[in-house]
This record gives sequence, C-alpha cells and structure tokens, in this order.
Amino acid sequence: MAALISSAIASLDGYIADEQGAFDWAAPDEEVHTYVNALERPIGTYLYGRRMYETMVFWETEGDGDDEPAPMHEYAEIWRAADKVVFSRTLAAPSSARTRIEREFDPVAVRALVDAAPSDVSLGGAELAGQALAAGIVDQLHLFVVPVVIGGGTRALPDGVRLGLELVADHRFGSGVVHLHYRMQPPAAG
Amino acid sequence: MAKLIYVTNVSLDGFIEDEHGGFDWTEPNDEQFAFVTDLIGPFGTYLYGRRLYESMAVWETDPALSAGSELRADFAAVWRAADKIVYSTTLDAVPTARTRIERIVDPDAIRELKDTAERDLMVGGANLAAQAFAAQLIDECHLFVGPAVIGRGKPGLPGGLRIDLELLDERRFENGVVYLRHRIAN
Repeated sequence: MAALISSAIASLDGYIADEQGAFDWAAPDEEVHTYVNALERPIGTYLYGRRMYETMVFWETEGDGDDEPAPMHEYAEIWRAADKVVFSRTLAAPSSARTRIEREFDPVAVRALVDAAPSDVSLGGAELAGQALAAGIVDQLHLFVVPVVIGGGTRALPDGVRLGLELVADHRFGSGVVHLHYRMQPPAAG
Repeated sequence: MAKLIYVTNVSLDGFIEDEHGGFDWTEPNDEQFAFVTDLIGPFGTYLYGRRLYESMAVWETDPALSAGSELRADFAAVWRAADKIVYSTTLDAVPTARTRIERIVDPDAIRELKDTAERDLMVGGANLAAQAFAAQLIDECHLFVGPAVIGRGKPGLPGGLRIDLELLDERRFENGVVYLRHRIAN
C-alpha cells in the first residue's frame, strides 16, 4: 500500500522560512540533493499548496542546464515524471504537465487517493502538511535539519497538534545537515 | 577559557515542555541516561533558572531517587559535585550545597566566570538560555530531540535571533531520541 510522506527542510528551531519568507539557508548542496533524489525517486504523486507549487514548478523548465550539477538534472527528471496535485482556491491553471488543481483539501479524499495510488505520495508545504498531520492521514515524516537558528517565521510542524513518532533512520551530511526519518505512531487508546 | 554549554531536551517541534508544563515524552532510557551523565561530568558549574533548579535539586535532597540504580547514583554524584548558580528574584535559600543565588543575569559576570573557570559551564532552562544566547555567551548547544511533536509550549531555542551553527556530533539512541551537538559559529 502506498504511503503519504511529509517532507521538509527546517532550521534547528523548526522553521522552513524566516519572517520575510526567505529560505536561502535551506538550499541543499550536492550531497543532500543526491540523497533527496534517492528518497523521492519512488514518489508517484506530489501534493502541494499553491506557494510550494510555485516554488517547485521551477523544475518543469529548469534544472537541466549544462552549467547545473548532475543531482539537479536528476531531480528535474524525477519531478517531471511524477503527478502533481495543487490545492488552491485561486490558481486558475497549472503551469506544468501531469498537474491538476483541487479547490479543497479534504483529508478523507486525500487518504483515498493515497490508498489507491500505485506508489508513494509526497506532501510539501507547511500549511498543507499541517492540515494532513492534524487529520492523522500522514504515514511518514522526513525532516532535514539545517545547522542554523532562524528565530521566527513559518514553522515546519503544525501548531497545536500532538503526535507520537518512531525514529526510523538518521543520517548526517558533510554540511552539518541532519536527516531524520520518522513513522507515525498510532494514537494511544483513550 | 571555559565554554558555556546549553543542554536541553526538546520535542521534534522544538519545545522543552508543553503548554501545561508537562514533559512526559522526555523520559530517557538507560543508554541516554548514562550518556548524559558522561556529558555533564566534566562541567564545573551549572547555571539554572529557578524552576529547573528546583526540579534538579531532588538529585541531592532525595536519596530515594538514586537508591537501587547505579545509573541514577552516578548521575546524582556528578550533579552534587558541581557548583550551581541559580538565577532567581524570589528564592531566599537553597537546599543544596555548592549553590549560590544570583538576583540578576549579568552578562559581564558570566563572561568573567567563563574567563576564569577551569572547567566548562552548563546553562539550563529556556529563559536563562535565551538571555545567554542574546548576550552571545553560549558556545555550544546540545539538544536531545525526542520522537514527539507536541504542538505548543515553551520553545527550547530563543526567538528573534539568527544564529549560524556548526554540527559537531549527532547520534541516535534506542528510544528514538537524537542527540545534536552544535557549536555557535557567529
């Protein structure tokens, strides 16, 4: 059965972007990028909020220039091959292939999509991930922890949601980024 | 010059305790417990806020806590052997030895302490640590990241500061806790 996987690159204090929306410190180097590619290769569908989609749609047309490193070429390929669903009330039309727009994020429908999917489904963007985590439909969580404290901004993990986790794997990169992979623990009875 | 080292447990979303003051998700297993004892063993002085001091003082005042467990007895011995400074505007007396009370957090005094101390210093407690971070007194930050998201509570790291870090060490424990040791780079 396919899994719903939430991934984020966060500062040590848990932000995906600072108060101005900047996340320059989160840009993966080649080592991290290669590792992310291996993680994302099995992904069949990406679920995005509008903002995250507008950041990621870069890969539809870029990333495979001669002056760009191999892991970027590889990621562009992975991204273009996958289906995308963008959850947005305002986006009129997608600017990439294999992409459809949904007006509402309905956790039951999303879980049904995952259960029927032939391969894993990835969830990007803090707001969308927050809704999915709060609804209890996420199976796994990947966090890439960058060695920086940002002091405020958009939080990677949702406000007011309590989750028990099980650590599956950890990996340390040369840059000081640490990858933490968790599986959700079923909520305790009572 | 001695280093000032911040050590704390946090949830994956960065909280020391939840909004009700609970931290039941931080219970260390034996492996982590022994690691913490070895980690803090070399520290000569602990700097505490009042609340954290009061929750740690039991390691000296309550012998039952370490009875029947070598791990706990080792931790208690290490804790008792260190000097403590408690920052509190209200506390009048302390029940533990080697302990003095300071009314205000004076960055210059802490800087002088670092200059003259022979052994490294540890700071505990989110409020005190935030002041020490703001005054650029902290040299290393050691987090024990628990496998839980708690959604809301007291943050382990200060708001409003940008701090560049260098990862010095990372390891995982059997209970799913991950230890992240960073040096402050700026």
